[in-house]
Amino acid sequence: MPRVLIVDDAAFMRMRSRKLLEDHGYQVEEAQDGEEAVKKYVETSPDAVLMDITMPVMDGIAALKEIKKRDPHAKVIMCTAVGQQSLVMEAIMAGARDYLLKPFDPDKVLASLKKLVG
Amino acid sequence: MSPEDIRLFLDETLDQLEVLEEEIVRLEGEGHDPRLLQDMFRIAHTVKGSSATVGHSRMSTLAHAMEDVFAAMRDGRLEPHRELVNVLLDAVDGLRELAAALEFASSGCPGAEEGAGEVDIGPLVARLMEATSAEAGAYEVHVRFADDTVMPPVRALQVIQVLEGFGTVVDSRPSIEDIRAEKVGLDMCATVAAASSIDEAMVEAKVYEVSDVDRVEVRRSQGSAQGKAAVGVGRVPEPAGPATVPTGPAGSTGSAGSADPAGLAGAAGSGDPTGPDGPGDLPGSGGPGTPIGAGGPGGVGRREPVGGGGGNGEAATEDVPKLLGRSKTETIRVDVDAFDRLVRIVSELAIDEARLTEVQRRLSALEAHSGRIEDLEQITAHMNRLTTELQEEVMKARMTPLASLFKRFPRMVRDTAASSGKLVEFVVEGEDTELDRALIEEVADPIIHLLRNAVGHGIESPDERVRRGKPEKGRVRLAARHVEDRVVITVEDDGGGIDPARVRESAVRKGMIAPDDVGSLSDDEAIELIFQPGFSTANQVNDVSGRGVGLDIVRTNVERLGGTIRVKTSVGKGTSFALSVPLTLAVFRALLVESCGQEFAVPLSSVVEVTRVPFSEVKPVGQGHAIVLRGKVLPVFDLCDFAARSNGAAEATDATQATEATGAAQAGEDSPRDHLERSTGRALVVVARYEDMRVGIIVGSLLGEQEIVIKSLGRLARCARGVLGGAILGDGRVALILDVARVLEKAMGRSHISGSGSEGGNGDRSDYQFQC
Repeated sequence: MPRVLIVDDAAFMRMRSRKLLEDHGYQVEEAQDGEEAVKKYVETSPDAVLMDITMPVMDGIAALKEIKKRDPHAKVIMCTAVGQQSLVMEAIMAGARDYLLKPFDPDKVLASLKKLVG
Repeated sequence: MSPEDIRLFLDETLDQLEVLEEEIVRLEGEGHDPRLLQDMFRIAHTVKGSSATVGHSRMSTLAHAMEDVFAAMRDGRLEPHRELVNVLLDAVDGLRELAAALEFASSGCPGAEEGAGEVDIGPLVARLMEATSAEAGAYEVHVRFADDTVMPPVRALQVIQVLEGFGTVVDSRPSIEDIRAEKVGLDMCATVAAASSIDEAMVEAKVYEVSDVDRVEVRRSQGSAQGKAAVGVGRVPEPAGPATVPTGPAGSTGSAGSADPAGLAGAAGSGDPTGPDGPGDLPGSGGPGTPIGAGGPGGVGRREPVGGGGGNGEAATEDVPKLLGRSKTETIRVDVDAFDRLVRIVSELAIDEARLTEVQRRLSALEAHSGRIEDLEQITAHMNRLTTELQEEVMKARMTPLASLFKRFPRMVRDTAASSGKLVEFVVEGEDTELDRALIEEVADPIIHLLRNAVGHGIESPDERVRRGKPEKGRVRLAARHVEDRVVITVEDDGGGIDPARVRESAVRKGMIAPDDVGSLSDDEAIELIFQPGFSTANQVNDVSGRGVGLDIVRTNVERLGGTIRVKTSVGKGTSFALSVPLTLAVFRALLVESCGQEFAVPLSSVVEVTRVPFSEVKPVGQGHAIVLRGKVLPVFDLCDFAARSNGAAEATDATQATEATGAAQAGEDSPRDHLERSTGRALVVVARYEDMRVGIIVGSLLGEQEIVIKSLGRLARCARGVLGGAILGDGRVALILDVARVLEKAMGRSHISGSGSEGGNGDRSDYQFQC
């Protein structure tokens, strides 16, 4: 069962995502900021990460870079709102594999994950 | 990067490219030469490095691909065959276009940045890579994003990242810069260069993994398929027109979209973006394809003169030290405009100096023996020396070897030969001859014109040459040399020549001359008709062995510079055009003379001697006059005629013509010639020469020698043929500078025309030399 780490500072968003993914057969871990995400990634080695960009303590891009440092093959999908295009570009250049636009379109979330982890 | 940095980069790069181009053409003619190849490698390497430094990745990529080719040739892994030379020359053009785009982009013009980088280097890089390795290939990738894609730039970036996994993305639309600037539409294409062949389906699958990708198509670039077919590799071309691209590249959006179809078409070896042309078809205008089977390798030869245009020796070994020598000369680059301003200021200074000297001379006359203005005399004398030196130095700095111009031509001749199916050996001589920089620019067009004519129309097709018992390969020679204070540039071919009979026919058909009059033209005069406006259009090209295409324009341009153009031709043997232009446009020493109230300047370098002959010895010869000087007949020309005409009086002109018609001895009272008879009864004759010809110029009096600065007379000078321009004298008056070549033509032309016994129809022609 593929494991996915959901990183978001909004508990509501984490809950929505967890429900969607679990319904489709993924095992889910959660983190509420970048720092925690890095820690959880190292601990659990998930197959993919859904990473919010704007978060307190450590933002999503910084976290992405930290994770990539530890695991160059990490599959990170950035989650973003409209208007963050340049941040997304930065994330892609830093090694993010894809991005998803909030609010989530469930089909797109699943399609993206499927491409990365099958 | 400051604009100055960019400027320096561009100047240097364009210089390097010129050298490189010359060497590539030479490579074709001379084959493998390690030192030449090393030099070419070095240039490509330098261009690669400096363009990367200014952040121009496309230039850098293209130069890198060239560098690889040169390295392969240098190491003997690759032979410089014709197709490869085509590719390399196209790559040089590509680099030039990129440089031009950069120049435009940094010009600060409105909209300049939008237009930059439109050059599609993908197909070029593909062709270069395929040259170095049969395995290597370039792949064209077309991507279409879904209509609801939210951030197309991010997707485009992802696609680039995926493609980088397979090879080098040498070019893309949108470019990386566009993507960063977020100028991205829903269509995208890219060229990936891979060192070994890659599986297209694999690339497609990987690109599909990027979200929002609607469609992907990957195809091996057809960049050099045509060329390979031509040299016998024989790849069967697939239909590769853009019509097969399902996404329709024409629908591309964003700033860079418009160039896409051309890029793809170019890669397919066809410049036609509308048809599904296979690569084996005729090359289109925009495609980098080779011209159809024109000539074999070595179609254009080249011989370098060693030293000052002497023997030929071992050209290849002589050239390399010469090349290396370039960098040893210590030079600084000066902005052309700044230098021109300097020249102008120096010219003005010289005029003031002359006026000052004039004032001093008058004061000296007044204050004779008083000793009060000795200082002034010393100062003006010193100043005179300094300004003269200053002028000389400035003029010398303006002198540039014609090589800077001539080295462009081997390439052009080669291309013209290739596209017209001719075999041509191109010989360049005397490229060390120096000429004023301003003039070099000006003579470029006429020479290009004449060379194109010589190759395209003068030289016959190989078949025809063989039929006529000539060597299959024609010969075109471009030579320059100094003659007096002029430079004579000759463009010569051993082609079919110009048939005067056909020129006559054509002139009559075009209504330029009445059928009755045409018979009275000598062959030489008939040939001269090719310089008349309206003589020839493209349709007439073949009627006259292909001459006369715009030659009137060539003549006008050359004459504007105070130059002349002459043609010598022999049917079946070839044609030679000689352009003669002054060494410099600006300053020279002149003999000042006066005639009928007008001052004239005769370039001192043309003056042979000054003599007096009894006026009775000036004999009418036809419509002109001549004297016998030390046993030789010397055509003479009375400057007073010209003075009268340049004063613009219609009556004077009529009177002059009447005078000429009736002979000097019976001249009417108002005739300017009275002036001479009344004055001394002896004519003062300035004997001037041009090349090996001499002419006597009858003048009123001599005023002395002076350094003069030419001022353009504008339209007036064009009306008055025979005048190079005006010069402002010390006292502020204007002297007309005589063009000796013209005066000579006039004096000779007249006797010549009258010698052929024609009247009437020729009246205009005897006149056109000096009138509008």
